[in-house]
Amino acid sequence: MEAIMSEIKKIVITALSVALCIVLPMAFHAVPKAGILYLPMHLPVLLGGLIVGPLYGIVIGLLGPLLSSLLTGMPPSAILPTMMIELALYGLFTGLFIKVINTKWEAVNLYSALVLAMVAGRIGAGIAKALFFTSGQSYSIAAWATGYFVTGIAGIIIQLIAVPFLYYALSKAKLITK
Amino acid sequence: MFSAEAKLLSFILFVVSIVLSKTIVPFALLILILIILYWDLHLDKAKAFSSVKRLSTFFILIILINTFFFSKEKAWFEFYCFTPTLLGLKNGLIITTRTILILLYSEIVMQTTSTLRLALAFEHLLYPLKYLFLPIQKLSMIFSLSLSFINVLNEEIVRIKQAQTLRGITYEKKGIRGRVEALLSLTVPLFLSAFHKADELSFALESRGYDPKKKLGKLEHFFSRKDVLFIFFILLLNGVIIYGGYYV
Repeated sequence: MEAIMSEIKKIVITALSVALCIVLPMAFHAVPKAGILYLPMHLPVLLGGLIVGPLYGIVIGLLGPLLSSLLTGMPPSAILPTMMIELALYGLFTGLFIKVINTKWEAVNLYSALVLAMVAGRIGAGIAKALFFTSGQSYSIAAWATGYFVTGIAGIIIQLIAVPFLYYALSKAKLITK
Repeated sequence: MFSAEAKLLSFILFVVSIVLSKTIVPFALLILILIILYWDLHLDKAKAFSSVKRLSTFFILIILINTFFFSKEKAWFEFYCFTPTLLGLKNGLIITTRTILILLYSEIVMQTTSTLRLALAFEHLLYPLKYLFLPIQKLSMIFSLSLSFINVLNEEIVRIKQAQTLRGITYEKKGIRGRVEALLSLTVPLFLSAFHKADELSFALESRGYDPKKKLGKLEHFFSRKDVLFIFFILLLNGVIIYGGYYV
């Protein structure tokens, strides 16, 4: 029988993921435009959601950008609300999908959860942006696709490589329980 | 000495003041208050400024990027895509000043309050949210733990960067593939080392009998008269910044 992760460990990993949301973009910003291109804040949220589940995933997605904006000024307050919604949805959906999708192949479960969460998060953030944060300006599907898929393509590639790799590495080191 | 609740609340209010400030007068006022607080509380200035020093390259980068790329109007000169403007320089300086001020104000809270006391203060301030069935104890623990993790992880990043540089990895590589490889060489060891630390910490908390569902403790009074006066003063400062013509 697989061990169930204790509530304390979930709290500590959630706090760690929130801290990584603040520290990782600071390290990435040493490379020009890395924040927009490589989306470093998404990594701890996606991984955190997979490890600690949907509810703690939402906490990571909400607290991470909020604290980062307060302590480092990134993301700027203008894009903070949409980013909080987007990341909270990533945290929620990775946690949900990894529990719901149950095929024989673990890699399929992991990749499906990750890709579906990435798409759902972007759709949710796009809807939120169109409804609440465009201040009367028109917001087209083309603008949404460019903003969320084209600009951050390098970030999406990094996420698709790094998140499963980190997840397996952490489980192999017995630092997390699936 | 102020209570932890007052310190946390005043920090949040100071952040609001800092974010609303856009001209030299409110910034000067905030710097003056900062100097008085550091002097009155006998804080370790070297320790406080070390966090600012660590980010100095980032600050210079922010100022340069803003100066050269912020706007194309009223540029001093034009050279390829570089269009340095006074507006960009001002914007870069404002962002940098805000970040430094927030760092120095957060250092006051961190230097004078223990993590556990901070968690308790956060829990007390969030207490009304309990009626919305939110797990306040857990949220306050997550908040205070994440604050204390930031410094540890920053030091870890510096250590990993030095180690990877010794192995021949450069972070100034050109092309997406090179940059992705360089950034992954930083990310993977950072995550593994961070999760090792999280594992040790959760084990320590479990072995000491920490119960996330149990209340951390009780305090009779959250705010003394001194605390209330201080918070009232910062609220007044916010009012001055918002209505005094400094907020555009």
